[in-house]
Amino acid sequence: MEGLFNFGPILAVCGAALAVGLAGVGSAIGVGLAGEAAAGVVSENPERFGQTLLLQALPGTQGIYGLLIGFIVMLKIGILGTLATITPTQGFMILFACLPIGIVGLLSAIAQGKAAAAGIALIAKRPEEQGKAVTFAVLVETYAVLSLLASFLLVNGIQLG
Amino acid sequence: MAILPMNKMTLIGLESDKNCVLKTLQAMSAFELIEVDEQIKEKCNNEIDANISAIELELADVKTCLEFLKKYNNVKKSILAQKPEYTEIELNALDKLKAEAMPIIEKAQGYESQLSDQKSRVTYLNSMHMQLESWRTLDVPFEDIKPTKNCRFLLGYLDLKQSEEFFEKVKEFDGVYTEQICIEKDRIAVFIACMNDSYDELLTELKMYSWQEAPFIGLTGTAQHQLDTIEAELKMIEAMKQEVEEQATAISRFSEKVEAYYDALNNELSKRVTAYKTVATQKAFVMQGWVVEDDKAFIQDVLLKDIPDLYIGFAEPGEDEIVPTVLKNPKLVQPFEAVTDLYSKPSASGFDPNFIMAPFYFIFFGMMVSDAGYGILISIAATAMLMVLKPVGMMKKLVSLIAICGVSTFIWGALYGGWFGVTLPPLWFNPLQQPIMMLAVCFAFGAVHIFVGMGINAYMSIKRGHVLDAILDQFVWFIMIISLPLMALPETAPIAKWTAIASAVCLVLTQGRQQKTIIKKFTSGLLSLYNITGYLSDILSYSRLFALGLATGVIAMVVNTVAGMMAGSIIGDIFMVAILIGGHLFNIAINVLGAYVHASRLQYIEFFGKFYESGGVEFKPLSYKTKYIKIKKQVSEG
Repeated sequence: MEGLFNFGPILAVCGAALAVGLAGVGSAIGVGLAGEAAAGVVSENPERFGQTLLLQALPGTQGIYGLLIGFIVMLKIGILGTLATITPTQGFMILFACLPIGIVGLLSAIAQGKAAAAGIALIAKRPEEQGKAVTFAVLVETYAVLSLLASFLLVNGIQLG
Repeated sequence: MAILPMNKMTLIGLESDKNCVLKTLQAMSAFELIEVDEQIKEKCNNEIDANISAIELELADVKTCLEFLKKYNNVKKSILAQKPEYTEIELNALDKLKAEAMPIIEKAQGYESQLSDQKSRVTYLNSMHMQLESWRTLDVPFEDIKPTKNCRFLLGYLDLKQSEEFFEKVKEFDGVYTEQICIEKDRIAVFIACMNDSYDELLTELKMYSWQEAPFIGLTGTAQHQLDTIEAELKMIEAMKQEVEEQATAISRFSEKVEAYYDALNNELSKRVTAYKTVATQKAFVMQGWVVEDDKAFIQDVLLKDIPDLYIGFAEPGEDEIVPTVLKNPKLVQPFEAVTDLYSKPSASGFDPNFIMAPFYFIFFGMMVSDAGYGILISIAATAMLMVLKPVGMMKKLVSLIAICGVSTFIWGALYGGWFGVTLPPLWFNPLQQPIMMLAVCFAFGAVHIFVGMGINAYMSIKRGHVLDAILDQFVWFIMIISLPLMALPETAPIAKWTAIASAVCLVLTQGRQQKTIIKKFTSGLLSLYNITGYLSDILSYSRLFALGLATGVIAMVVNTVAGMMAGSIIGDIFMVAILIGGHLFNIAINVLGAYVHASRLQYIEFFGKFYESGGVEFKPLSYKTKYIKIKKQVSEG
């Protein structure tokens, strides 16, 4: 395997890229969805800006979780300093360890964006029910949090020799 | 700490004293008026207060005036500006406030009508100008274009596309002269002279070519002259408009007076609307409402001091009455009421969770931000905000909440060794290096949190006399949940195995006790074991305490790493500082938000789910509600 390419680091970097990229795309879509709904509400009721902004920010966390895992992989493989020796097996392990936050981050951020948009519509009609609107959206986030933990424990557990 | 017991107060007094009673109650802000009982209502007649609609109309006028003034107010109000303070006596001196505000309101209304008159005049002039523009080259004064003995003249427009055809056709007519004055985008301005004889025929013909007569009847002078006049007038109006606007800006500095009057008027209105809820005979009135039981003596004293001829009666709330919820908590716990209120107020017959919830919220928030440096920053920032902006109500509670939780953030940061993303020797352990330990800590906190919730439920059941429910629904589950993890440890496994089996059997046998038939009892008992997954997922949910703490720490590290890459040259150092400040501020903002919503969620779903009885109604006492001014308190609360 050592021929033309050094597959271990390539796979590890691929994992980091997927974690940051997929989760980031999900958050961007989710925040965008919620932002559209928020802009609609604010056009009618400019004083709801603060409340709707809070909800719009919620689907943004998945992107941060993705970056977090990406960064931990970078630290682990030493790409910011001297690159560690990584076998293809270890590379694959890191790549797969990144998938939970990548995939769940992508899809949960979109789902959370929809829940947040619906919550924003709720605030438009009943601003006093903000707590409930936020709760609905936060329930979705649980799964991103779980996948973040899974990815973290996996990456953390891989021993590089 | 507790939900305060409420009493229903009935007041009977002389109609002539009613206003004074309401004023006193409004100042005390301790009495929520409700509709009077039906049986009392039947015996009285109620008249509509004619003043209410008058005040509403005036209020609308004042509001329009305020909006007008706001448009021209160019004095930038700093966000730090405090609302002007008025005493209660000043607020109640409606006539004096009116006298101060009225000149401004009248002036503003005058300016507004002037401006709107000018605006409509400008619209008219502009449209005239547009019409006349086409006739600029017609050098005959309009007053000269009038029928002579044999001749008639027409000024108007023809459709451009059809005009060729018309001019072709008109050549056949006798004694018709046409002149094209101006060709525009889709029409053509035409001057036509014709002999009286052919006038009718011409008119029929013109109609077929969508002829439009120009509206210049009564104008004098040439088109050029008219245009000049209009332009001069427009200029004049523009100057006048500026003058009026300057005047409006000048008086807008006094809008404070109008704002004070608005608030005073609004309070007068709310008092009168309230009074309408009371019932009255010709000489006497009756009103009823909620007061906190502990305030009874105080309210009685204050009322009787001013109004001696008053009957005051108190009664316990009836079975089916909806009693508003009033909470009493120590100052340190009050900010946490915001968290509960955003979910739902506890029902008046339920349990006030704030005192017990507060320490958990405090701990969880700190664990999720968990950076000592951030903790110091957010506490200082929130405290500064409290002191400078002096927020009120919900906002005050939320900002205080952040200030308090900053302390917890500092403590946890120190325990984990996180200082602005730099890892210092931790006082306890570093979660990044011992993730399993960290997860165990989270689950332990979660289990305690959930057990406390179940404990409250058991307490409520026992208080209401359902001791058996408390034992079977909570206590057995306690044993079950504790036994399960202990089964994994070799030392405790032999005992835990039996307690788990015993509690499981107990659950199967008793959870179906509400069912009627034996089979149903057994199956629903068996199904209840499935709830174990519910408890399991509840406890797993606390892993977010780790994950969110991880997010703060690692993103802070990312910020530091990226900033560190910049260092080296002068420009690089500037960038480094900028990235450090911007990055950490962003990280604080996003993580405080995350910690706030997730700590709330753990209360709402995992904790409240175990015991909470929501659906409380807010206590809305008759009080001063002001938008623009602040009330200086004079009456000290007893």
